[in-house]
Amino acid sequence: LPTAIIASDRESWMAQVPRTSESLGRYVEEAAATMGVSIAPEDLPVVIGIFANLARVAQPLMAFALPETVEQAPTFTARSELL
Amino acid sequence: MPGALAIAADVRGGRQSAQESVRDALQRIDARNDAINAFTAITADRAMAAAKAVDAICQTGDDPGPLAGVPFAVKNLFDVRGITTIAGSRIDASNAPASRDATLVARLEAAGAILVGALNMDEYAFGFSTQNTHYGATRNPHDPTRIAGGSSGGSAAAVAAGFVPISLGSDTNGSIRVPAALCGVFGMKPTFGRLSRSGTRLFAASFDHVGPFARSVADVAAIYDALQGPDATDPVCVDRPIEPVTPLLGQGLTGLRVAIADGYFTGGGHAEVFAATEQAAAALGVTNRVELPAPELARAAAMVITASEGAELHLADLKTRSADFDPMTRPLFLSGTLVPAAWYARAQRFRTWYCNELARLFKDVDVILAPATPYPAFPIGQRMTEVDGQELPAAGHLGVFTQPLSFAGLPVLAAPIAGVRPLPLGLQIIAAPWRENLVLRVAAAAEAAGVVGVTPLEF
Repeated sequence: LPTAIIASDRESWMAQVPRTSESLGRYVEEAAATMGVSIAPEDLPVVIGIFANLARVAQPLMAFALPETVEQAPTFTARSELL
Repeated sequence: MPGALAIAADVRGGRQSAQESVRDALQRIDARNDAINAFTAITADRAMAAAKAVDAICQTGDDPGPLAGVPFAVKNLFDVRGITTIAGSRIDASNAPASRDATLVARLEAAGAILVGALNMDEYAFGFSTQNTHYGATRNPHDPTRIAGGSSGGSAAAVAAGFVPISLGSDTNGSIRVPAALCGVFGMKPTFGRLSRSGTRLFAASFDHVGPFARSVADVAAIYDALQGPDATDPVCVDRPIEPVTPLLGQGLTGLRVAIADGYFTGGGHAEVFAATEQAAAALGVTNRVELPAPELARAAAMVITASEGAELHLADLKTRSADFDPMTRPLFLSGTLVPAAWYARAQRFRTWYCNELARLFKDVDVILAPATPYPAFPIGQRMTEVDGQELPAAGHLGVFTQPLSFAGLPVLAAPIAGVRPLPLGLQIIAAPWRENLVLRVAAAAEAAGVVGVTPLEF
């Protein structure tokens, strides 16, 4: 069972890859190297597929006309006591 | 099996001992867990000792607590004193055993409930299906060839299978509501910050919630009441007084403005889901419709924040021992390490905008109804599913209707829609932040009207 699950999960994400641009694939490899993260060759197409999906959903989020005055949801409070 | 309140009433009334209650639960688990794979640890000795203590209190005439003798179990990311908190991982399995119980475990035990074990989940809670490579997939009690949902799959399956009447899970993007819906039980994600997460393994701290599973609205309310209260050891747990909901359950729908979620929540899934949701709403006399503000962007922002925070939390292990991660989750975490900072910052700013828009929406409506999942449980190992003519990752798409709600920290109950066969479907009952009382009030009315409720399973 676990082997079957792994195989099917890989295929589902790799289905995203044909829609992926070459530059995005390069970004994944270069960014991983910069972060010091090693991606095994068998994982690389899956990671690219997942990242391509993130990039796809992030696109309209980044394009949304969000007013500059809107601050981030987490707010920082200076404090002297231990958390 | 009887519900939590029925067990507690029997134990408190001397009609059953806590030891009998716990022994019954352990026998059910022993007989059927191999078929469902809900439990990863069973705390039999601790449970029998605790049951003996509850019985001793009963014999002295003292109050053993509102949940006296009620067996419960927790997702294995909750600390349980004396056993290792594995959070579905092999990596954490080599950690030392927890030195104390998570706050919510302690609170349930203070109410007289008795812990009988820890439950399976997706590794580090990153998933919607509990197809865990290390510990095996949890199977859906309604059809063991199908997933239980996730990431709190063991918590939902244990209640659906009747192993325990109540359990605890966590919900970052839908991990209580998805498995509750697919297993046909109630699962509640209270307002972000309402319940203490202290002593739980976090996943994406911006969204991590904890909450209960049960087989009736009254049981959900009873557990929720026992779990409430501030906790200085969880930085997001609010300093609010306990606001009991149990006394308010019978208030009915009169005076409440209930609406069904329109637009985004009426597509992107299988037709049977929307038909069941509409029928449930119609049976409650709900005709008003509301549209949430840009829920597709809320989901996108939730995905970006989850991937970033989850990956950062596990970055050291991803760099040095990535082979020890579950192959189901490793690529998800790895991709999260690559998210540009601008996406994350934008997602957190969008969250402010979205919450403001929702606050406006909740001026005109008290409670919103929406489907919990886009389809019922699919076969274990299935990779894709078709939605509106498009092939989508079957597990990844399960959170399409839950993510835009947890993104805003709203209180939501996933309730099993009555009469849906052969596989359960869930209805999300949603309110403004801190209005769990309205969620459970509508749920109680729906349950009394036969619109939601657990379908008993015969074994």
